[in-house]
Amino acid sequence: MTTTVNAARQPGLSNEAAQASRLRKFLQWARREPAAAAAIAFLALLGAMLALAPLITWHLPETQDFVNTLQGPSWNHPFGTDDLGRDMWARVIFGGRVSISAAFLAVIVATVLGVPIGVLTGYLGGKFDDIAMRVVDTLMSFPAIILAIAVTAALGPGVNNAMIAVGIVLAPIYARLMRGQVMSVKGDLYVEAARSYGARHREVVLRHIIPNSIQPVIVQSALTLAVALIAEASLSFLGLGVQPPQSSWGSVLGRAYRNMYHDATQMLYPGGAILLTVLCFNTLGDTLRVLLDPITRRSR
Amino acid sequence: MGRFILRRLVTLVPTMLLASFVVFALLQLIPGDPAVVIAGEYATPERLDAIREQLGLNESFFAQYIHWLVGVLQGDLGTSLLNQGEIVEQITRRMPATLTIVVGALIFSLVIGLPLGVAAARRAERLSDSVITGISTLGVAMPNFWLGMLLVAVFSLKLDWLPATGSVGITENPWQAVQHALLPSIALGAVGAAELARQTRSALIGVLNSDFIRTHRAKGLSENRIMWVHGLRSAGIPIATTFGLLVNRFLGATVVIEAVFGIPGLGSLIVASTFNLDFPVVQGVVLVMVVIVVFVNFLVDLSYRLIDPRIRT
Repeated sequence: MTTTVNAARQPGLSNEAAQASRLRKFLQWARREPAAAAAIAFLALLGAMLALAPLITWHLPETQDFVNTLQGPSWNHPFGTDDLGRDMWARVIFGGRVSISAAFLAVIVATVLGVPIGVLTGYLGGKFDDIAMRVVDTLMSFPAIILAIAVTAALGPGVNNAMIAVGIVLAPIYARLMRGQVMSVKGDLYVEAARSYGARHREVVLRHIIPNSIQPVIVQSALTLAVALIAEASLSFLGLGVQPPQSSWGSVLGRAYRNMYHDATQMLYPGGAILLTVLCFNTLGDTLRVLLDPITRRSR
Repeated sequence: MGRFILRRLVTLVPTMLLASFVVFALLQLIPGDPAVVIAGEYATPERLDAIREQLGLNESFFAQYIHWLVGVLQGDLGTSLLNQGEIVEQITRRMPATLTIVVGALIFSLVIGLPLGVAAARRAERLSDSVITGISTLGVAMPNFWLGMLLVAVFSLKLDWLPATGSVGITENPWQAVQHALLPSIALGAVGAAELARQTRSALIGVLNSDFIRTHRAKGLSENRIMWVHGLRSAGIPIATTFGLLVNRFLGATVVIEAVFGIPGLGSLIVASTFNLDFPVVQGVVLVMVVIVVFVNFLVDLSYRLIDPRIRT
């Protein structure tokens, strides 16, 4: 990935030539890492499909049709219909919008809460660090879903509340990660140099420490998106997440499960969508980890 | 070892205190007046007073906490708002169903995950390694509740081999208990098997390249002995760590698995209590689960020292 950036910066190369070589480099990389390339392609396709949801569906996800309930796949209903005659294809596509944005919400909450705590504890160290890490460790020994359910119990069910709860539960991972990073970067020469010319703590942290320790957070976010997606599906399956008439992959799956005795194939669509997306987020995370790791990158 | 255990036990005290505080503070997240939220907007003032009395809402926050904590330390988690039943009694009644599938899932993870990880490490970078790695990548991404549904569809609905729902106590009828626990344990444990296989593989590959393994090979030790005795022992710490994390993961995931399989365990208790706004029960279940996780982590800590006697902390 970095090599492509270098190619673009080479003097004398025209813009188009740089772009062409960038594309060629990407294709070469894709051939070496087919799984990673497939994951990126799938996520890009999924993103496009969810963004263009109204254009690629021809029934509304909420429209009930009691004449055509529990239909098998057809041209009109590619994924069939559920027990209320609603188009499963539309429900999966529109449900995906809710599921994916819910996963992003949880990751954003976790990052916004976890990263500053990690930076502060890592940078300040000492007693403050001891106490904060005790709290973080304790929070990490709560089973995530259980704590999220308890928080939703207090805040009330709903997809936003549920995902804020999941974000709070996942924040300690970011705090731990960032703390470790900051502690290892803190003693680096450029940080010392910045301090020696009289930079304030604020400047040192914002301009030197955070930019140099944020990369693992990006990797972690891809992996956390997968965790958050499963958490959303779990909570919505239980009825604590998304509330009707809105639907997400989890709630569509829950409904399909209750209809299993009439049509067992329906749960394949939302479940398959969750599995593929989680698989691709995980693959993306693993790929980014290798790409962003300076040691493995050099040896490639 | 005795003094070591004692010292570790002492460090659990602040952790448990903190955890209990978090559990208790959850009630503070309720927006507005908890009594109104619980009883509904049209509750009579007497009912509101009764709830305030039962939850001790008239006291200050810290007084409430201390009050609750003293009760907890005496084994009293309070009473349910819904049916006034003792929460401790409800939890102990439902605990066996949950523990059965969690333990079942742990056994499944070990029995499937460890041999797969060892097999993959032994044939690293070869076809069988790629196949195992592929399967475990898929297994890690598999939503456990979906796997549960698929298992029910195939083994209960289609083949009619195993019951789809319910749970039977292991003391009542061991054979039926195992039959009921089999599918949920597999659904819950599949992720664990995959994770354990991955961790075992990477830990073992590191160990197998080391000098002492080469010495063992040179002196003619059988490959099985090298793998299962010397290799696994040296790779034991990451494996034990993963095992500890799995307990945490399974206790959480059991909520959804219990919903799929209709098992009356702790997970279904906390979900039902959430819908009923029965906060004392929710707090009780969360607390019990955290205590289990903290205790398992403690055991994992102890196991580090058994695996590697050089560790002294």
